[in-house]
Amino acid sequence: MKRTVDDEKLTAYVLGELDDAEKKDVEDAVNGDESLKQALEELKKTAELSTEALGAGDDPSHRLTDAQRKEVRTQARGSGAAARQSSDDGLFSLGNLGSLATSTESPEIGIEIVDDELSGLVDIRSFGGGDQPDEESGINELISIQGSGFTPVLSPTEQKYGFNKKVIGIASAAAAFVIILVVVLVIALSGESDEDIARDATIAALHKQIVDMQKGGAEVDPDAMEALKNQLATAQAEKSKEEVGEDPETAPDEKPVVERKKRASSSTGVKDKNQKASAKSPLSPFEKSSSSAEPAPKKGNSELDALLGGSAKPSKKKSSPKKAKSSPGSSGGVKKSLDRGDVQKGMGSVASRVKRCGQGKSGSVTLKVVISPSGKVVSASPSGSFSGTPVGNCAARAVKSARFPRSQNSLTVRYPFKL
Amino acid sequence: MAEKPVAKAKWIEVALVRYEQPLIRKAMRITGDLELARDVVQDTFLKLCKADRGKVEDHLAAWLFTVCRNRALDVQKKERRMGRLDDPPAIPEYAADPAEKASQNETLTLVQEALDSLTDEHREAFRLKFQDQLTYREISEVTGRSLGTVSRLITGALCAVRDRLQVGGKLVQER
Repeated sequence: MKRTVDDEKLTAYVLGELDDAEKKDVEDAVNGDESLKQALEELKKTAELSTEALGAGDDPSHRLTDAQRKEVRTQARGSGAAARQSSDDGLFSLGNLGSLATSTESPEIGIEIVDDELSGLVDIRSFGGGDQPDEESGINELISIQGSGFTPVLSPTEQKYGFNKKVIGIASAAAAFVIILVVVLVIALSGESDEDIARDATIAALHKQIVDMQKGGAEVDPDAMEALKNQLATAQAEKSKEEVGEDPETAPDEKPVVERKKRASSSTGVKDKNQKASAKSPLSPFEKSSSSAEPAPKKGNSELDALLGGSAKPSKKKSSPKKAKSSPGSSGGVKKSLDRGDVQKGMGSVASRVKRCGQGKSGSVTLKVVISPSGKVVSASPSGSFSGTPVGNCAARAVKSARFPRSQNSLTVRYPFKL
Repeated sequence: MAEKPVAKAKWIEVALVRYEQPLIRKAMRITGDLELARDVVQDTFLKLCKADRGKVEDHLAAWLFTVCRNRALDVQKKERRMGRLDDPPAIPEYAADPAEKASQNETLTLVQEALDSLTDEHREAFRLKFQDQLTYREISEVTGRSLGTVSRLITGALCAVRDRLQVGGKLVQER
């Protein structure tokens, strides 16, 4: 009789949508009515079969990838820490390097990116010093000259300002010159050793993160801390197979002044470098990086330009390009999200690597790339015709080593690369 | 965010377990591509990480599905523009991945036939219920329809499927 009404009630009953009173009503009605009982059974069976047929429940392919899930969890846990860190833009490229070292599945690819991308890392590089054993002492000297020469000159300046401006002015200029000289020299010397510097920077960055977290007090997430420490251990192990007695407390602290920042970084960098110098692994994947002695920033930029002009298609991602702001390390604060220029630049740095994956094939491979707020590539996977192919996977590995500026939001981009 | 990170992380983890698959299926229906769908869903959850839990919690399903849908539509639009999605998703609305469902083919075919005769609203509600295992209330949130409407849609769809299965001998056979 009231079949539709009954069906609706029965359906709700089958699906567990009724409250206790309604349930009882249905059960009472069903008990006294054989046809209703049959109707209920049919609906129950139909619901079961439907659930089964539609493949409800656990379909592994309908889940995020492990990397994606990990990123979500990291974000879920780390929003507090991330917010703290995001204000420290001075370290943002270091942070990226840190994530690079740990997240890059294929280190040999990662190196190249570091190489290409180092243009934004001039300070880091200069403070880390060259890593060639022979040059090391020279660099240390230079750095210590900077340290000792600078301070005495400044002291008189402050105390006896009116005493002899000329002398002070000359001394200041000399100090500035020494600093510049150190920077230029170290950049020049470091041409062959970007990889080591990058690794040093990675370790410094990890130190920094750990120290930050320790400072964070109540908000410290033990898991995240553990993960960071593991990253640090990994980075150190990579750098040298020897035990390295790192002390997180020695990491550079806040550096409001450029000079201070440089010196603080240099101390860590030099220390790391020293440790590393004796144990440069012949297996180091970084060996592949270019050995050009040309100043790194120039090289990086020119390569980037070439890549951007050549194979990198415009990202379909953001609609409002603002290239000027996209240079890593130059921004005063952390962007809300990466813009087109940022993405192009980051992708451009790995374009040649991706191209090589094509092994002479022509066409384009589109990669879906998830970039975390820290600027690292969380996941990269080929889509379309290259999905699941060696070329696609190679390209994805290559892209994983791309780095981007820090931003407040993660970003997923589908980016086409020419092969 | 005043909330303790650990508590929020747990909350998000629960949401992830509960809604990950429905959302991926939802995104797949829009984009027609599993990879894209995963990206979309990851974005959705990353957005959830940044969201104010207090403002989202009481309508989490609706929030997630809305964010997911909008993101998926964005992605789809971009893909189209880039010429990578030439055709509309070839994947049937209620069978996200036919190839993987081969074992349930027979019943599935009957279910599909039944659903084909119904409206989009019926199909959507049915899918959210039997594929994604959402409750009426969640379906109501997600679709923006009243609970009564959801109940009617699902009942109508389920009865249609039942009738089709009966004709196909499925129900008789199983009983």
